[in-house]
Amino acid sequence: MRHRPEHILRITAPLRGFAHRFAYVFLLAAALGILLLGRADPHIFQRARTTVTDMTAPVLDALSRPAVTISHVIAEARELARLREENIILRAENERLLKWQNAARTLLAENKQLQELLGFTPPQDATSVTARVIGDSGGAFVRSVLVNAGRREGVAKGNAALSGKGLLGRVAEVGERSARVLLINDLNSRIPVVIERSRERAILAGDNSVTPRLLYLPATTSVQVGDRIVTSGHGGAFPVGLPVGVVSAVSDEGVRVMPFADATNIEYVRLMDYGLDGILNDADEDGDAVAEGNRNKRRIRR
Amino acid sequence: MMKTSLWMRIDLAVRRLTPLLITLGLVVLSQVPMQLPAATPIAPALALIAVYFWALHQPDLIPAPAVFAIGLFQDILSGLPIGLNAFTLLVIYGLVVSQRRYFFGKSFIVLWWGFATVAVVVGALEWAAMSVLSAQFMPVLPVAVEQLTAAALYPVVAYIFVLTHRSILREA
Repeated sequence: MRHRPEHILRITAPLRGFAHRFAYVFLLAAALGILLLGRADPHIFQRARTTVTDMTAPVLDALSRPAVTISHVIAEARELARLREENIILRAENERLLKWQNAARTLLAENKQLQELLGFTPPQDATSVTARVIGDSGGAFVRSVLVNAGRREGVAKGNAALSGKGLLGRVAEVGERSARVLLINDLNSRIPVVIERSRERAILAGDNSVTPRLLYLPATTSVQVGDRIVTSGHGGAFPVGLPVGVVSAVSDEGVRVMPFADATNIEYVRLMDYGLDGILNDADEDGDAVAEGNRNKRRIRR
Repeated sequence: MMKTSLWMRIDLAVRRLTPLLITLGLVVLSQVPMQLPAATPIAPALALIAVYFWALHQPDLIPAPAVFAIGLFQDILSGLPIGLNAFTLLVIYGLVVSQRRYFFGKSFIVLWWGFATVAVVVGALEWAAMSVLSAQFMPVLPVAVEQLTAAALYPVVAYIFVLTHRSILREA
């Protein structure tokens, strides 16, 4: 009687071991299969992705609030310490900006008159949704953030994501109540840009570092550190002239751009719908950032 | 009598599920934007710590299918190619479970060192997989920093799991 459990165990243990091993190998193969399948056709798991993300969004939403509060407290304490200093700087900046405002008003009026003269049709007005960043993948391989607005709020794939300072990225996946924004420094991000001063076109290509690279500049480029980079509107993904960043380094290894928008510390993003569907118009090819980037490149080269 | 035994069974089931639930919670937590000024975004590989710990101490609490699910969940939330973490976590799980005998009765430092090794292996695996998938060499530094952070965080997360493990053992 005392021996029986042991006896049973002796028979079943190898069997269970075998079953376990089989399950393990099966799961390993399944993981590899999913990885390759997802590589071959990125749309297969699109739905699973957005569903799971949508389900997790409320939790992330709630969790991200205390994190934001803590960072606010730290920032406020820091600001309090150098309030006086800041005040002087801000006054000087205000004066400078007032001058610019004057200049802008004059130019605006002039521009309007000239547009009327030319019979120019202004581009369609943009609609925007402001969303909070609730997830920051922050891994070593992707640069994307989750935001707490989705189809329900009118967000659509391809929307431009802006911070107060400049272009952050674009919407790559949309769920019901959440969306994933692919940042401009992600490896898969390719954005047609133009150097504001010289009007030379280029592609801004992310490589997961803080400063993306400028590709396909003309050989005789006059690009220099400090040049402003704005979107060129080619490919129909973004409108013309969204501020992107400034050239931070020009060397043999390439031209680097420091984005205006600080991607490491985003709280809110504005998702702009400019009514452009350029590169996203064929419905069957709407998920693959790489494919979009490549098509982008093709369009520009043409 | 019936009632208590039923409750006890539920209680036990919940306790046995705790490691998995905590791990899934850690995966969600690692996605929360920390808004740290000037810190490059580094999500510590909390799930990796969890899988290593439980594979070492009591693999039956996180069986292979659970590891698979944890990996998929992490891939989906972090926007990585689906299957990447599922694959690397399963590889590590198999590796650690097969080497459990070696770690029996070893000091915490040895376990920590073991985790550091595992983190390096995972970093290399992920780097290689991502490089192949994107058909270009990925930068090495971010992976290295991420895995080192994970190694440095191991004692903290492991401590939480030690407490969890004790509370499960007490009841079971």
